[in-house]
Amino acid sequence: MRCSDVLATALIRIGGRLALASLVSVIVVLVGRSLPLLSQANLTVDYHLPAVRYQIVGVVQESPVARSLLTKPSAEDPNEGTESGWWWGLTHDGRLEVRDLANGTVLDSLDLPDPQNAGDSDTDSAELTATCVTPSGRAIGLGYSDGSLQVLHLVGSPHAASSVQMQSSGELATSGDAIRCIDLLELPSGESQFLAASKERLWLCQPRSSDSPLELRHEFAMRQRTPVGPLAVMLAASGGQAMVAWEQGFIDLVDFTLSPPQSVASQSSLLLQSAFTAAQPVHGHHSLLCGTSDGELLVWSILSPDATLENLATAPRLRLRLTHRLQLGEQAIRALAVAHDDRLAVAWDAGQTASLVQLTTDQLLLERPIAQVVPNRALLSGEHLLMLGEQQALSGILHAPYPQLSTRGLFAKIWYEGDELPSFDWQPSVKPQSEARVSLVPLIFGALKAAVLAMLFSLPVGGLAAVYTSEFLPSHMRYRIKPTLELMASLPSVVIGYMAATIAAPFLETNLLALLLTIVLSPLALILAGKLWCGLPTKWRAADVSWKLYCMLACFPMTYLLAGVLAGPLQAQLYNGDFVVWLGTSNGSAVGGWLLVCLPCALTIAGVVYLGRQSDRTARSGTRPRAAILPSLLQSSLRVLLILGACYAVSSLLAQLGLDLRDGWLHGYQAQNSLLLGFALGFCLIPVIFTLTHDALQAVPQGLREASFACGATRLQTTIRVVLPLATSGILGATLISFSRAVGETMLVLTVVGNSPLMSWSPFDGLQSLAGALGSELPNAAPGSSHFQALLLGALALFAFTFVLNAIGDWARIRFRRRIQEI
Amino acid sequence: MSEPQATETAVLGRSLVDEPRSWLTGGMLALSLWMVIGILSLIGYHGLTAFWPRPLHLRVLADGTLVMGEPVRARLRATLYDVGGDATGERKYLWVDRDASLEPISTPEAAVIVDDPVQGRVIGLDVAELLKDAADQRAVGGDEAVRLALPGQARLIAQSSTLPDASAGIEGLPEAFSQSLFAQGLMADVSSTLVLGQRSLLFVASSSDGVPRVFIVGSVSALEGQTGVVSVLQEMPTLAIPRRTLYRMQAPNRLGWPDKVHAYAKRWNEFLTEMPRGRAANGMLPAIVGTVLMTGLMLIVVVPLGVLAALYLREAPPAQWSTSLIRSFVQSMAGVPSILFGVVGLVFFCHWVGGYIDGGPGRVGLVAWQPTGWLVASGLTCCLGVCSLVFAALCSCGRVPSNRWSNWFIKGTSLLCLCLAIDLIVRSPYFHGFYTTQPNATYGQGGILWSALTLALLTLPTVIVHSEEALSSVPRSLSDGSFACGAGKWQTLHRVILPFAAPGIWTGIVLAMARGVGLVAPLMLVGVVAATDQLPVDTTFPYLHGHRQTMHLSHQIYSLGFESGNPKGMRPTLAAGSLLLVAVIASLNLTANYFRNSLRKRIDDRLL
Repeated sequence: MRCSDVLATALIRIGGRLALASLVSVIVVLVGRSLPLLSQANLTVDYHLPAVRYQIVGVVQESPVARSLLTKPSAEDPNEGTESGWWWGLTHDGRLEVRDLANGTVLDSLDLPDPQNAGDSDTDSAELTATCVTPSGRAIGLGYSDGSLQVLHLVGSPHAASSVQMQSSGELATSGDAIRCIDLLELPSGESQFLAASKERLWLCQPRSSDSPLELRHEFAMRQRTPVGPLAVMLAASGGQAMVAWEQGFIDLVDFTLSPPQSVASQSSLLLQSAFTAAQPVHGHHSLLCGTSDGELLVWSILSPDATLENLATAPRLRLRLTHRLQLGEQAIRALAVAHDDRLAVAWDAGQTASLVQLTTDQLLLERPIAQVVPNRALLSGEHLLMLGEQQALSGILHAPYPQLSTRGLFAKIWYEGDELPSFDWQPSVKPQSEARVSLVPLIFGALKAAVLAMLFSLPVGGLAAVYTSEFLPSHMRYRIKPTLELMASLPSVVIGYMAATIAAPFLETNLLALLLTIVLSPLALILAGKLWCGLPTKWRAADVSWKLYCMLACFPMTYLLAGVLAGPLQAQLYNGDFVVWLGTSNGSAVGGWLLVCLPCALTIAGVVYLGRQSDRTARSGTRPRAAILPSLLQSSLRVLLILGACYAVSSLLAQLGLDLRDGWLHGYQAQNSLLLGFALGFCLIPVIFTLTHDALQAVPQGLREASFACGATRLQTTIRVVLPLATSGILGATLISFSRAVGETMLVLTVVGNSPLMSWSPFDGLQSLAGALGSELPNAAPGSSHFQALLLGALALFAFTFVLNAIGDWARIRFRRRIQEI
Repeated sequence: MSEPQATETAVLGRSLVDEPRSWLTGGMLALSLWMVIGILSLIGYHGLTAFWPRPLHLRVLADGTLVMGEPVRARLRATLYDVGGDATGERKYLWVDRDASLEPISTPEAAVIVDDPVQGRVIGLDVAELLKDAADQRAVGGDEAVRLALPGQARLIAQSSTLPDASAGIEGLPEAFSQSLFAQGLMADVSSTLVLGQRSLLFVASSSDGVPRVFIVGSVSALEGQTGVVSVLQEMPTLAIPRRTLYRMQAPNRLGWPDKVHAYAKRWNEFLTEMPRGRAANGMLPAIVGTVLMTGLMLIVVVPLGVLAALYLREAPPAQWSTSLIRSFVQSMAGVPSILFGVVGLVFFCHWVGGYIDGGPGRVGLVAWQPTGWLVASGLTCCLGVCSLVFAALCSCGRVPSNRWSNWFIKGTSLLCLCLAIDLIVRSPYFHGFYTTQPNATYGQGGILWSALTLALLTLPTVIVHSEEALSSVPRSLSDGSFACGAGKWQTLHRVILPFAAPGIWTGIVLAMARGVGLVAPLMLVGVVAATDQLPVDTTFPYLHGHRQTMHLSHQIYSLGFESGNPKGMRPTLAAGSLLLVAVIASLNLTANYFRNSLRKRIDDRLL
């Protein structure tokens, strides 16, 4: 063995294996990056402070902790990996202790500034009765037993040179009742609002500057439901509404934007015997989470007034909706902690069991008993869970990777905040305080819708074109036509998309009905032309096949011209003058809409029947053969008229029954619609289907055809009876492969329909597909975020789908080839 | 009934049944052909006419508004005019009804179209030209006020006596102009002329309806090489654009045919060889360089790998299920959507490998070995490798019986060694990344290297499938003959098999190139950007900068057409880009077709 041979063998082995391994690694990477989704949530207790008594704690995270495996350290931060967060606790004797997040050591300690206005009166007797802290952990609201309120701000950092300072942002003395509960909201504008409740009154005020008192905006006397006062209050994110929860299970919604403020809605929990035992505003301040004495978690959301709802005779009102219910156990919920950056909540019941719950998807992620501390207050910020008991504090690290990306979150109908009904929705990259909507269903639906529309267009066109090229055209023309269509396959989809978006879209919008009519009319025109062609002298017909092709080519512009002429009166008659306008309104008759459905269906069925009917009947004998053309023409036109009449009758009947497609199915016309995408995508698929089908047909041995001809069968009979049955599996393979192409097409979706993840069956609406979402959103999604992971999961689903389709298609083609070879 | 007539009747009867159906199938072919012809001619038409200088129209609308612009699109009733940019540089387009203007469309000679890096596109009248005309008229008409006919009620009047007056230069022409305009209250005066010496500002007001309107302003100093270009739209500010910063200035209405051809060629030349400048992004040089480089890098990776994999598959026992499974796998991978390769490229190359190169194992979440442990493990791995080698050598010498178990032992140990070695290298405690000090990710984000590797991964199945097809068409008798003549494996491969299969392999490579040129979706994820000022190649070491983001021709079509705010203004560039892209891809495909035919011919010849 020569050295070169050994080298060559080694090179081939290594290179070949490397290449194959790199292809396998595609699967490995896609699957491997989706694996973190499977990991379970867990809670590890970090440290335990046995002898502290805090009224309230807050966590300040200086660099937000990304819930990710791939932690990207910021470049400015030299000590990467170490979290520079800290937390503080407010002791009963009015001291603020600043502690390290990682190990709980005291970093700093400072005294609470005395309430100034209460200073001259009996300060000592004023006891702290209500506290709250904002998600940033830097603003604290305090309420006292003498009815005075105080807002404090923390500035600085124990890690920085300037240590933590506390600044008072305003105080207010209210009427003497003890403050029961308060809520402090930081608006996106940077302002904050402060809501306090005593047992019967609500105060909405606004901190202004550091030393001036709180500016009282509204005061509202509630309908007092219990002598003790409300359990919790929540100030809605808009700043104008407040939700008040009472222990017996009542929720009131107070609207401060009305003058005077009034209670606009109230709801009670479904089971009146269960009382509320804990309540917390959910992150985003749009919903209130309540725990009941039965161990149930309830989420109440404010439903924004929907102007489109006609049934509200009066002015649209805000309403309350019970959007989520989750039964945790039998025992009463004792304390609730709501995450400050996500829709996670931890609930403790009386049996000392902590349950981690995802509030969007209603899922229980983790349940474990915690013995060290019986918390009556808790705080969940980032990954840190701080629990406060009567005498002690406990810090835990909560690891819950991608809690929303569960099967339910991705594939089920979910009742999102502020929505009328549960829905599938894909809106992942919105503001952090609003709820992420990561249902993959609209994307999958969009991909399938686009692919089906495209296949409806391209399968008949490409398949029949391949049949004609392979079976009816002489070989010299075949060799010219095939490369031409293959050239079409190689056109970059971005160019086709650009052309479709800039040239075809305006054209389609102005000539929509004419184009739809052309689709309906052109098969009829072709059949008519075929019959007329028979009337030509035999000499002409036999002259050259290319003439026939030219005539076929000429059919289409003529049909389009005819359709253009017909479209005007048709629009006036059926579509109230303008089709596009008709789609968007509910004026005009509904007959036209049903015709849009009936006519294509009827014609497709008729076409299949017509093509598949045995063409055995031969000559109608007569002295003048050409005379047979006229009756046959009459017969066909009668049939067509019959079909049209039947369609019209069915449509009128449906319209008479009061059904209108525009009620639920058609929602007007978007310039970037799925129909256009279907055409453009079909355009890309036609050459694929054509080539694969043509190859399959060509693989059928010529001898079979010749035998069929020798038995006296015509070309058409041979094609339908001999060639097509043999090539079925090959054609099936072609269909599957082109379908997988359609599902995975990205650029056409991005260019033609843009980004509109709707779940609409109308072909005149936009869509968004999985591939389109990957292309447009993945470059902007932060690695490691839920959005990124959801997209990766979508990529895995897309991969699995297309790969399996391709594999089946390939298998069908291999089987077909084997079968042909056996013949 | 005579015999032939009966036959004819039968034929006709048959064809009456058959013919319409075959027409139905044939019609679908005709439709497909219409589509090919349609899209190719659309692309060709738009691409070829994109840079052709079109006349600028001046329209006087019924309400006296003047619109001057380049007709962009025409419908039956209305024409869309590109009227240049407004004060903020934003392009404006106006639909003008055909019957909206009272007067016929005029094409003033002095109309110019200017692409300026700061102002964007300006369409207006070149005052230098107007002045020249005025001077000519003055020579004829003596000391009278020179009147220059303009459409509508507008008249351009230059008071001849003041023209040569050279007052001291005033800097900042537009401000100076507007100040003096208001100071002198000229708005009311129809025939006022403001002349500031050499930097003349001509000002014309139209006052037939009593409302004065300024519509021409400009400054000229031919000596200093400055020209003022004036916007005709009345709400537009006056502009004085120094000629040296001008990107392009064209007066299409003055051009004759040869000049038009020259201008057309110049635009194409700019398109192909210049960098994009400011808002008038015309030059496509970086995109073209990026495309070529990326395709080249991709080929360097994909060709050896693909051909080797094809050879490997050819050598594998054909009847075995694993071989057909691998074949099916490769075939199915060829149909996987391209965007998924982009996802893999982003996750694996950019985030993982790039992050590793930037910041070492710690950056990508790997825990490095302890130094001592690492040293020990390395030593052990080396020992294991040496043992495996020695054992293999003994086997091949025959000292140790070479059977199934010894083979498995050698394979197992070498695989273990390989895995350990890779782990030791990757998680080395002594590597902390090459770019730890850089503030931004260097290789940890998209770049031309990652794009090329992604493309290579993407086109690998195509190349494998085509090469394998070509290799399997090589008759066994050929290689057997070669072996029988005493040639070794390498010689047979090099001299017999590869030359025979070359056209087929080339087909795969060329198709892969065509795919690489036309793809956008995966590249958007792995480092192709809409605009960058750096080419991936330059004259500083190491000449080729793999981490640099790059532009790509087909991505330009997407980004300029759909992501930039001005798709209408980018139309010529986009149309030309589409044409270029389609031309390149079509010619690549024709080449592939040629290779395929030559392979087919070769096989046919061999079989005959």
